[in-house]
Amino acid sequence: MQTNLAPFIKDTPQGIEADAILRSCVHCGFCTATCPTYQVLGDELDGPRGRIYLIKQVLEGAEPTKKTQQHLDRCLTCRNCESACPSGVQYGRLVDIGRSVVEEKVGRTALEKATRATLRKALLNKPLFNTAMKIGRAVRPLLPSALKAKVQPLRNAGTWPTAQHARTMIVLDNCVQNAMSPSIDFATARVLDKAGVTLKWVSAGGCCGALSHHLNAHDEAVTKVKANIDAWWPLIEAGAEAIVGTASGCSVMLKDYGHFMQHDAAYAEKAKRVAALSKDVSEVIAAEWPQLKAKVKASSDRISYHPPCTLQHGMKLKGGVEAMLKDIGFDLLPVADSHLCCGSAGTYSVLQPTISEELKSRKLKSLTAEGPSQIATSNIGCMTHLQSGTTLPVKHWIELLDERLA
Amino acid sequence: MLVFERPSETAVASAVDALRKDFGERAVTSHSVREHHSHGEGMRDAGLPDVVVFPETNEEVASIVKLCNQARIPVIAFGTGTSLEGHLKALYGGVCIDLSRMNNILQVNAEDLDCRVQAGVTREQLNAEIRSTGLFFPIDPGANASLGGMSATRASGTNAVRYGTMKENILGLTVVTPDGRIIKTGTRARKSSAGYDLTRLYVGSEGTLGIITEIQLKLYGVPERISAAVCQFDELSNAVNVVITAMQLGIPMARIELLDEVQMDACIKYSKLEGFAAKPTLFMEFHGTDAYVAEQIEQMKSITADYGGSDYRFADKPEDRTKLWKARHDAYWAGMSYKPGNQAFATDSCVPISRLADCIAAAKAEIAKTSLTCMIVGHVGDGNFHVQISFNPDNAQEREQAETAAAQIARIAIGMGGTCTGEHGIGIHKLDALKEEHGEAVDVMRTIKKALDPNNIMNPGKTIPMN
Repeated sequence: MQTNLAPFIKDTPQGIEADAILRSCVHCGFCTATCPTYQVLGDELDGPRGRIYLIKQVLEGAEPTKKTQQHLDRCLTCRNCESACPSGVQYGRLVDIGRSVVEEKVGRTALEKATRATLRKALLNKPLFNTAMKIGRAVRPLLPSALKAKVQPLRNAGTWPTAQHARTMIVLDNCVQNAMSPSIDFATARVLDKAGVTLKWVSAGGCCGALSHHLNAHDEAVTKVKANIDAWWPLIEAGAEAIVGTASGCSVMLKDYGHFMQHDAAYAEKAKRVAALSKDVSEVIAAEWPQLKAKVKASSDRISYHPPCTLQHGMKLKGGVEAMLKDIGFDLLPVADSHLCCGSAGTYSVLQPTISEELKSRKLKSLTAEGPSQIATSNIGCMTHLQSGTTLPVKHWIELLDERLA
Repeated sequence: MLVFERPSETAVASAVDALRKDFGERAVTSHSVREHHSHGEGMRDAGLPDVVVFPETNEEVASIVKLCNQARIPVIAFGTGTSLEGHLKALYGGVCIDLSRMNNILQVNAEDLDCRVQAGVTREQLNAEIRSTGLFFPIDPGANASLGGMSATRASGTNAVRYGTMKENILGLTVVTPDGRIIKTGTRARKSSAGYDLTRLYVGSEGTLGIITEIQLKLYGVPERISAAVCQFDELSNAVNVVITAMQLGIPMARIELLDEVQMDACIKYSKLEGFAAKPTLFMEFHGTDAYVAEQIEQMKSITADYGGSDYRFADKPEDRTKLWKARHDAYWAGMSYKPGNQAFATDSCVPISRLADCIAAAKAEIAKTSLTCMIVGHVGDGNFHVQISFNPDNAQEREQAETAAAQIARIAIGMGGTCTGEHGIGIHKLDALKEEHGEAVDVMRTIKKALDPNNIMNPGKTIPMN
């Protein structure tokens, strides 16, 4: 489309990037039908094409309003639209730019600011979050049902393998996963151990930076990214093969480090290297699959799998997990509309509860339609979100694999 | 004669109030929704409806139309917004009826090869939902359009050479008339001599005679074997002559699509096609049994060899075929992204097959007179092709050149015994061409329009020239 960006942004790095993205859009609207919020709300401005127009107007000098901000806030950033787009429009990056410009101009109410700050503080403060989860679990029977759903009993994580192999990989220390479901990283370590790889856990305080980034706390995100790079660098120098993300929401951020830090002279090169080494756990396991497959005890359980948006749309990794689950022997049930978001979307479930709940109930309906005995997925966010709406166990697929290798 | 007077603001306001009362949140007046409903994929000239209503039943559509007829307010039907000729532009404001929520497949009669759908069902939705029956609906305009909209514009697509256009594939309709009656036309019988053929009258009427709310459609068995092939040429005329010869020999092609070198270049870039040159190209598809398809391919190969065609690249796997035809269906968008920021007119000439080469050559000569980027893509098996004329909308001279060339290309087709529009319709952009094509017959069309819609509320200003 034609663009004419306003002077305030035109020649900035953000403006140049946004301009290129806007010009690649031919407003065909193939994205609209695949957008979960458009499906729920039915408003053009709650679909990608409408949001692109809104962002264009703002970047061209129109004054955004609270309403503009609301339409952008309602976006899940699931990037389903990017998968549907034949023109290769990088909507995810555009909406990040749009949101930060609109927030600068429109601001946030005191309540919004407080909610967002609390979310960041609570989720990023590990001791606080861990304690909260512990207390929550202890008094779970007494909790109101809405909160009870979010506080799930802990699965036994088992033990971390002690063998030291020549091959090493690094695992990201996630912000909330280890408190909510430590079994995921432990399972990954055990599975990789069977493949002759030692998984090293180095903490830089936790979090890949995505949480702060998506809540528009740019400086905080940069601090997280730098801390991670600094913590991993000695291990990378020592020959670590990969940086493994065990939550696809984190993996997609790790792969974006190069782009995220491109204007930081001190970290740009290191960030690029880290991004190149970053792999989602499904990619790492797929590479070791021939030897792992031989050790698997087959299971014919009926299961449904939910591919998170960050996996299938963000990283464009489609079908890999499903192929391995089928190899194990699982009866992988067909799931309607598996390209759609479950409504978790990071902190979205807290900030936009109505839409999030609607998407969750639609997703669970399709996931349970064929009567699975359990549900698998690839991201802690989706996992806890879906678990809060069903009595069936919802697990990370790596836990299922770990069980079949035990 | 048919000039419409914009209704008074008070009349509109009271109609909007009444609709809000009946439809609640399904009657929308927000600017963005009205803007979205004011255009298709073609030019975005301003002309917003006053309100957009989302009915869910025939009776609701009838109640809206009745209200508008009493208040003399225009009614414009909206399917998915993929028309190209300004059909949706609300020239005099009014009520836009968005039929997208009427998206139920009402019956599938596999044993009779037919089905009944609501107007908002899209062609892809229908094919996805009947997949398990082994049947399919062949008509495929590039866009994933609604079947109501496809009926109202008498659409076709790449399969028309084998399966016909919407006109050949509709057995009957449910129509809401301008005075709010709900009528059924046609039957489920494959043929009928019972009275005037109202089905054919409403098909292609572009919402000017009534609103189509249900359609009885023909279905076909998925062929045992489908094989797609691509053949490239150094000369456009050779590619066209292959098509003419194939049609004259009666080879039952399922699809045969021509892309000129510019269009091919755009498609290679946009759809990331690998291993093709930016040369005149034919996309072909053969349907039948293994033996029948093999025979058709052999016949075709002997023709393309005579005209210096390349070896065939086959796409037999469903995913390869999908990629190829998706690239073809996205040709319009490939053209749009070829010149970022530009707008485009798409011509729609269709001529008797023997005149196709002459018509394309004459169109090329017309293009050469301009300084504009143009590309040709066409359902050439039917003698139908599109010239996508790309221009900078802020440059008055370019826009004028584009309009002149488009009008001239339509005129050339009419002069050859063809039509100005094979499948896009008249809308607002081809009113003059319709007069050139049909002369006095347009007056008879006008008589029909006046008889059926005396208050001229149905999509006024479209399809039939006002004088």
